[in-house]
This record gives sequence, structure tokens and C-alpha cells, in this order.
Amino acid sequence: MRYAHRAESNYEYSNSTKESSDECYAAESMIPGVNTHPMTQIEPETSNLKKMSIITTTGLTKVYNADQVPVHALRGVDLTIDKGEFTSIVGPSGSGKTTLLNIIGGLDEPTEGKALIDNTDLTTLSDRKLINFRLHHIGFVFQAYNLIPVLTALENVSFIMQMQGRSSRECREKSIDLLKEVGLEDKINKRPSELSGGQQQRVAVARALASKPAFVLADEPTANLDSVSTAELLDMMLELNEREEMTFVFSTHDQRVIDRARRVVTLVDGKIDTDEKR
Amino acid sequence: MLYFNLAWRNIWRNKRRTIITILSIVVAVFLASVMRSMQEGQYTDMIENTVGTFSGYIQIHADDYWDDKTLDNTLVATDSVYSKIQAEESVRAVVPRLESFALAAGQNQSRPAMVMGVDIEAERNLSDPEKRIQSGSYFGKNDERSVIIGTELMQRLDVQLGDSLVLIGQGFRGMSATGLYEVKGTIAFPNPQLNRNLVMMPIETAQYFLAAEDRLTALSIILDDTEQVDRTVSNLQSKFSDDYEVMSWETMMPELTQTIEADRGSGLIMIFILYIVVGFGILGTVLMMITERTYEFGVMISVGTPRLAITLMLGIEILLMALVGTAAGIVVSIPIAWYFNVNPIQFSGDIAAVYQSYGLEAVLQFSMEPVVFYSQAITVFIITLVFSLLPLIKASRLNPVEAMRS
Repeated sequence: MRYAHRAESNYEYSNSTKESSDECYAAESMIPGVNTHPMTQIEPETSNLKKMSIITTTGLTKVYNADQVPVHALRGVDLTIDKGEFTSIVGPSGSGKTTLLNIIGGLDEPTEGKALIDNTDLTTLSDRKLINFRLHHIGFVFQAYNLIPVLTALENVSFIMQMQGRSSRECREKSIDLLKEVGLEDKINKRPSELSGGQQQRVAVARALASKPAFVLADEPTANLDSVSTAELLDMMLELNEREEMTFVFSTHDQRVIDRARRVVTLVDGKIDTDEKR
Repeated sequence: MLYFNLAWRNIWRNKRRTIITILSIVVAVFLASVMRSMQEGQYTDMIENTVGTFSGYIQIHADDYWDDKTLDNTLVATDSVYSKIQAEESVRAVVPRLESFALAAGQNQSRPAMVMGVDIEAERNLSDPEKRIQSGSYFGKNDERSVIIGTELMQRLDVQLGDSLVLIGQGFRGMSATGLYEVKGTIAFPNPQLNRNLVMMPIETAQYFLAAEDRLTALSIILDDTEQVDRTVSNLQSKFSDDYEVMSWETMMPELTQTIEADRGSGLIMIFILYIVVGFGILGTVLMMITERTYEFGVMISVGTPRLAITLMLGIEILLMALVGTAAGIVVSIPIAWYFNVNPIQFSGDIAAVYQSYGLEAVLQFSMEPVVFYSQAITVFIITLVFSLLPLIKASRLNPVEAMRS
């Protein structure tokens, strides 16, 4: 219980520091040469944050009871991902990639073990707090883009910020900046159905960044893209990673993504088989 | 505003689904409203036929008259009594009557008859006999020795216009009552019992025949607003507490009220079945709407959309469709009900005979009472919301991982 209490406190702390940095941080921070991301600004240990762990899993185990026959999706995964890493999680189908991503994304809970994101143990959060945590700390990019079909590109991006309670003007300005950042300034009023797959995925990345997350979680982000779109998306994400120290974690089968990742974690049968840093 | 905007756009995202949902609501309101309009119109006809055109909505009698309908329990209506009644705001007219029974005899036949003495002018406000005359004519100034009889009674007595009719009965305080009158006309009411028994004469003639000078069995009261019956009864009761009994038509004719209530009950069962069918139709449409978008809701919850926001967005969608559907339902129902209100359905043949056997005019006039329409609209609106609750709860409780796997 003590631990749980501490974890909740950390969560509150984390929120308040993010809010205090709201005014400083703007989507303009993505503009080259302007580095005002909150994680690089907060509090005394600012200079050490680069080495700070964003994601830490300890003994992560997940067992599904499929028709009474237990299926071990994860078998004690210990993984630490630091701020600014560009990590691919790879492995054959059924190796536990998606389960691991779901747990560190706060979408699923482990059977055993802990998942600490931004110093907050997700297993201690209530459903409501977990949703709020995802809104403020995690950016999601999905395989099928998953934009809201009735909203324009601009509205899709600003939707996240509006839910965070930011003013309409701020949401609009920052959404435009983010869409410029991903090279879609001329498509801001297009609906998803009017955009190509690559363009939709760029909007999804802008949406993921809109919440000023601690990291971006991408589940097979290039699976539906052609080579050109894949290369462009990877270039863009790598640039954001380098310039803004934005942490990216992918699950992927795509060799093109694996080749450009700075760290490749391979899962086999729910365990980390190899962990290669490049 | 964000969620309203989202909801609005989602409504138009799948136009066919939206139109089907709205149409099901429109049809429900339309069917329920028209059915209720028809039923309520029928009840109004029943009441009008028996109350509005014969007994009056309120009657004042001498104390105990209703339990013991004899001439000994009659009243004398002074000017002060009339003044007190007419002082009531909702009272349009007061119609005096003297009623009793006698044996009516023609040359060859005799039959029991209901003798009804009427104020020939005031009665126009209630049963309006002149309009119901089938042959001959209504009373004039010098018709103190004339009677108008029911059409069927005329046949039974085998008499013609201008023939003599003998009446033999018992008058006030046991006096012998006999009289010879000329048949001046025949009259037909929707009530077949009246057509079989009625002998109508000027009230002065009736008072003379029954030796009941100035006496009345009832003062029938006609109101401008039939909704004011209870209030007027209460006011009059307080004015005439000791001497007279003041009764509403519902008290005088409980069987009519019961018949209406029983019929209304069976009508409500039909409408309830309609509500259930519509409710499940709406449940199916909303469930489909939510199932189609399960993946999308999974994504929204994943990226941090509060569950309440999803419920709110869907709730607004359903609310908007329900509002449009119920409003359109009323708009579609009113012209139909209005048409049959202005042009009542006239029955003939067997159906007409059935109506007449119940003492009703074989006419079906739809009601245009606003409550008929808005009550159905509100009910269907609430049903829509209630039947949408389950899918809404389902959507708000989605597990994002499972939803995105769907």
C-alpha cells in the first residue's frame, strides 16, 4: 500500500510539472533549433533527465486463460527504456510484442510484475486515472492510423489537446504547427478519407505528439504503408527523436524500421531474447 | 461543444443508419399519436353523445333525487338558484328539466314512456331537439298540448303526426296524472333507448300533467370548458350544500366512465406493445451503431478520451435523433388527425348498427387535443433514451484492447 501511495503521488507530481511547463512548451518546440520540451525543462535534475528511464518493467508476466488453458504471453520481462531512445520491439507472431506494448501503454495490466512509466506504476492506477495518464503521458500511433473519420486533420490533432482542457486558440495554433512539422500544412482541413495512408499516419504522429507525451508508442506503424511513405515517416520520426529527444517505442515486423532503430529488443516466447543497442 | 460537434458529424456520417433510426421514431410517434387521437376522439364522442347533448356535464337535483328518482324528490328553482349557478365563470347555460315515467297509448297500442318536460328555448343549448326532429316540427309558442316522441316509439304505438296520444301516470305526491296530447313531431337521438321511450313536451305542460307546478327534477349545466367540471362541482356544492345534490356526469354515469377506462386500458396495452416493438427496434439500431464503431471507441479510449466523454458524445447523437424523430412524428401525425377531425369517418351498415346499439353516433371523429400528441412524443422520446441506455453503458465500458481487436 505504501508503494502504491508513493506511485500515485509520483503521478500527481508528474502531472503538475507537466502543467507548469505547459506555457513554456509549445508545438513550436518541434521547430528546428527551439528545444523547449517540458521533459528537458523540469526542475533541478534537468540535466540528468536525458539519462532518466521513461519506461521500466520489472518481472512483467501476462497469462491469458484461453479456454481454461493458460497462455503465457509474457514471462518476466525486465526492460528499461531511457528518454530519447528509438526502440524497436521485434519478434515472431505470438512472442508477446503487442502484449508488452499494451501493458506499457496502460491499455492492459500484467498478471505479475510492474510497469513504471514516468515514475508511475501503472498497475496502481484506477481505470479513470489510467485514461487520464494516457492522455497526458503517452502518444499512440496505430497500424491502421485510427484517426477520427468525421474530423479534419487539424481537428484530429487538436482533439487530444481539447480533452486536456487547453483553450481553442492554443489547440488550433499548436495543431497547425504540428501539422507543419509533419509536412501537412496544406492538408489541415482534409478529412482522413481525403488523405493517403502515409499522410494519415503523419497526422496520427502529430496527434500522438499533441499531448506532449513522455514517449510515443507505435504499433506496427508502417505495416500499411508503401516504401516511400515508410521512409518518409521514419525520417520524420528519427528527426523528432534526434531534435526533440522524443522517445519512440515500436512493435514491428518491418525490416525497414528495424534497420533504422537505435535499439532492437527481440522477444521470443514472452521473454527478451536479445537487446541490441546500436 | 467539442462533443456536440463530434456527435453532429457522426449523425451524418452514416446517413442511412441515421434515417432508419429517425424513421423508426417518427413511425412510433405517428402510430401512437394517431391511435390515441382516434381513441380519445371516440371517447369524446361517447361523452358528447350522452353527456354533452343529453344529461349535461353537471346536474343539480333536490337532495336524495339520484337515489330515489321520484317526483317527490324534486326541487323548485328560484331566481336565486339560477343566479348562484350562473355566477360560476365556466357555466354557459342552465337547462331545467322535469322527467318522469308514464304509460303512453295510441289508438291501438300502449307503451311505457319517459316523459321529459323541457324549456323549449333553453333546451336548444343542450340536446338541441330542433335539429334532431325527424318529422313534423319543434315546439312553438302555442304548443302547450303537443308532444314530440321518439321515432321508434311512434312505430310501436302505431301513431301518425297529428294523432292523439294518451299519457297515464302518477304525479307529484301520488296525484293521478292523465293527459291527451297531439303528436307534433318525431325525434331521434343517438341513444336507441330514448328513441324507444321518449315523449318530450314543454316544461309547463309536463308540470301541469304531473301536478308538479314549478317543480323540476334537474337543472342541467352546460360548461364552456369541460375541463372545469370538477372545480365547478366543488364550487356549487359549497353553495348548495344542504338543499341540493350537485353531481358531475362521472358520478351520474359511472358505467360510461368505466367503459371508457376499460377501452382506454385495452388501447394502452396495444400502444404498450407498439412501444416495446419500437424500443427493441431502437435498441437494435443503436447497438448496431455502437458495434460498427467499437474499434473507433477503443482507439479513442486508448488515446485518453474519458469514458464519460464517449457516453456524452453518443448520448448527444441519440438525443438529437430522438428530438428530430419525435418532432417529425408530431408534424406528420397532426395533418392526419386534423383531417379526420374535420371530416369524421361516417360508418354505415353493420358497424353503424353496433355504434347505435351502444347509444353512440356512428361517427368517428379524431381528437385534436394537444396532450394526445405531445404525450406520445414525450413517451417515445423517453423510450428511445431508455432503450439506448444499455448500448451506451456497453460503449462506455469497452476494454480498449478488446475493442481494437474487434
